[in-house]
Amino acid sequence: MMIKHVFKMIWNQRKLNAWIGAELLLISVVLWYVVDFMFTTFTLLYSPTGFDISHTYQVDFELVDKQSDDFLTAEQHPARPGDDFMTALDRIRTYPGVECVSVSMWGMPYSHGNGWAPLRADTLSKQAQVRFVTPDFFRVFRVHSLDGGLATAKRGWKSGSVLLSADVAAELFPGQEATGKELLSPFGDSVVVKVADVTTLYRMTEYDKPNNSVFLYAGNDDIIEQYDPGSMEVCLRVEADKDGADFAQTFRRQMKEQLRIGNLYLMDIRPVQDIADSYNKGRGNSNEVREYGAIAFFLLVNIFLGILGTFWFRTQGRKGEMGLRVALGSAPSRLQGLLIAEGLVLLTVSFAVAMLIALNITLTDLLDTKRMDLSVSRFLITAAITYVTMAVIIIAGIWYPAHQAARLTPAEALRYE
Amino acid sequence: MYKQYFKQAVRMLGENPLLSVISILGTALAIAMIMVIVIVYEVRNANYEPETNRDRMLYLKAGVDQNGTGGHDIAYLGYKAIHDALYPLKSAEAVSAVCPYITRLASVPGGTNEFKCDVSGTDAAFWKVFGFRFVDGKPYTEADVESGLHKAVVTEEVARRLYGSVDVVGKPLQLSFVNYTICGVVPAVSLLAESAYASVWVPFTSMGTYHYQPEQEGRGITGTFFCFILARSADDFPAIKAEVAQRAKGFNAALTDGHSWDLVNQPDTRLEQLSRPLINVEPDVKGMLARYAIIVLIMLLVPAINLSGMTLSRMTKRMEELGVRKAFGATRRELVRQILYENMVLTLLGGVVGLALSYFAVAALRDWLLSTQMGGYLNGATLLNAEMLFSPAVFACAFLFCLLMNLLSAGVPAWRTSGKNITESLNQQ
Repeated sequence: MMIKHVFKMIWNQRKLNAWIGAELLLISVVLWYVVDFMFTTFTLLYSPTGFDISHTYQVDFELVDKQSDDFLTAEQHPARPGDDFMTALDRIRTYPGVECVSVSMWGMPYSHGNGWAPLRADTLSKQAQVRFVTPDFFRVFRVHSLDGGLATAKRGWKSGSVLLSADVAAELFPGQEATGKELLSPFGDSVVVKVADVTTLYRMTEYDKPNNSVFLYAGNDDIIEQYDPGSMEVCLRVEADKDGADFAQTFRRQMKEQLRIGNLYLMDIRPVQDIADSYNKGRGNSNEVREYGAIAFFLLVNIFLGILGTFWFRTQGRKGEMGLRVALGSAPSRLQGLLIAEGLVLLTVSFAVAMLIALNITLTDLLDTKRMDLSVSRFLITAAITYVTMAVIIIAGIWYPAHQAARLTPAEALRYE
Repeated sequence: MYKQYFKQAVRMLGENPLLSVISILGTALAIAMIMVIVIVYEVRNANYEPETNRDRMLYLKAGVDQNGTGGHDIAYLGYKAIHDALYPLKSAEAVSAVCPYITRLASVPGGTNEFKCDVSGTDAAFWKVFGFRFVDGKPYTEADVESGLHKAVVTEEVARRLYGSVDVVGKPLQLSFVNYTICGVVPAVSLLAESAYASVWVPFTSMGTYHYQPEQEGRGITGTFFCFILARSADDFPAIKAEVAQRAKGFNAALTDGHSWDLVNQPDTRLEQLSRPLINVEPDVKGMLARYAIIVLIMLLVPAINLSGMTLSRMTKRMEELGVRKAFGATRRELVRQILYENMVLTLLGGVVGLALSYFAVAALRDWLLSTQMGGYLNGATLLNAEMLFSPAVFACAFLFCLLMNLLSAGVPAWRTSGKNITESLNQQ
């Protein structure tokens, strides 16, 4: 009954309603697109990454250049740079608050580089991202085993075995327990390696979907042999209660002399969170979210202003009608309800048409699937979020003019007639 | 006449404050957001110190080495490729090789105060390709670079941190335990000038083991260098691109191991450079501009529809007045013009507020809006100055978008109301 009445009201004002309807239609489509981006991105952002970078730091070393007066020749300092590096790691381990230290190559989260190689087991072959890490890597970044606890904690890890992430383990050994199985080393010529453990899904960053990963054992001898300060990532975890805003600064000050070993010197220490921020910023990941946020803000403000303006006019122009309704016994709150219902019906009609367009956009593959696959639930959820957001803004926009109109006393209102 | 329109518009403003505020706010927000996009675009593309020649520069950053069996290595460019194929370019005015973004500890010899700074290793042509203003001293010369002299140009900021003053020419400086002599001082460079950016510049021949080692580069396709080509004018771009392609062919002909140097469509213009998502991915200038266009269009269209509705309502109220004017012989064109002029006052008010807002937003949110790929890893700041921000092009754009907005938001209502029959309009009252 009321709805029919509302439709009649909308029809009577169809010229003005056409404008606001067109605007709602356009905004619905664009806002839905933005909501879809936000929904898929934030779903990804808040799902587990497979690592934990809180209270972790990366330490950068460099070697003094040959040209320097401080450079030590092999005669002056017989130890190899790799040996000095090991000494440095030992000294870092004894620094108060340091829980564990790891060395990795293209392995830490937000690493500058990444390497890929095929993994083969029986007839199956899958590409996986290769990470060289020392066993403590899993403690530093809190990487978990699929059956609970930190990875390798239960079963240990020896040279000659690898860890797989859950996704590639399932692909290579479908329906079986991967741990203990054998596969061909990604680098060796027909060298067989054992799977030491399977980790939970592991992602490059919080903005990426999980990807196949294999962790290769980096032993001390390899590190000493191949030591290159540019490509080896030294990361450490600090006990939560010993960590603080000035940890890096204090570390630097206190360790500068101690870490000056042979030609090795401490270049920098940064929280991994800082590196993550730089990485996400450089890739445009975090900025993209803000850009879409700005567009959403713009659209919502415009709906608000548009609705506010239109309904202000409408209630002004219809003071006579309002007065008459009040005079005939309509409660002010019911009047307000009527106006809000009018706005919501307008939205619903425009929104229904908009979603037809949105559905077409979805079906023609114009949506991003980098972060989430297309699905009915994705469409329904984003449509629902869009609708509710717009409805809230519309109610907010109508509230003030409706309140003003409903406050009129019948006598005052009838004067407009 | 215009004075009359203006008076009318101001009265209209006062008559319905809420609607006026809504109109101005709506316009201001739209103009602000569009102008943020314009200003950011302008800051990324326009010429300003020290990147004074962006409009006649070509960029090569990626070195892509195709190994002949389907695999490839991607890094920065190798020195040998620059030396053999790019330095000899005849169609260019200058070619510069730069080994960028190297972190070093800067200190005064014997001092204990050391700090991280970003060092670029360059050749002498670098000072020709970029327009640095020297506060003191002068750049190192070609002869200095050739003999690998340890000379350094520093920013005022570095000079102050080292010596507490900018009067440092001739004084010593240590970069990660290697001695240098300061030969020139320049103002700090904003991270926005990412090609010229550094806080210390030294001849790349003085950089030592890890960075300049042509003898160890092997094929010399991949390495640690960027190459900047300065053209005499932008008209020479096609000729330079053709010559680079041809010389790359010659370079590849000399390789005997099946490897080849893949230019991945470089060298790039500034715009192409900005539209490469990753250094080895083909630039998509059209896609980037289309994205800009769609966003600007939505930002114009949404508020325009909004305002159209309101303008129409306002005009309906003034039907009587318009009817009288028509009765006295005003043509439809005159009426449309009147409505557009009156509305322009509102739009311009919104435009001025919007432009001011956009400058405020760019300044306040610069770390986001003006972030560069390497920005987060470097020690410098996103410095802004008037030269970058207040270009005539920005103001012209702002005015143009206001005009467009006015047409979009008042055009249809003006046309429709002015077309109404006289008797009908007069009858309304």
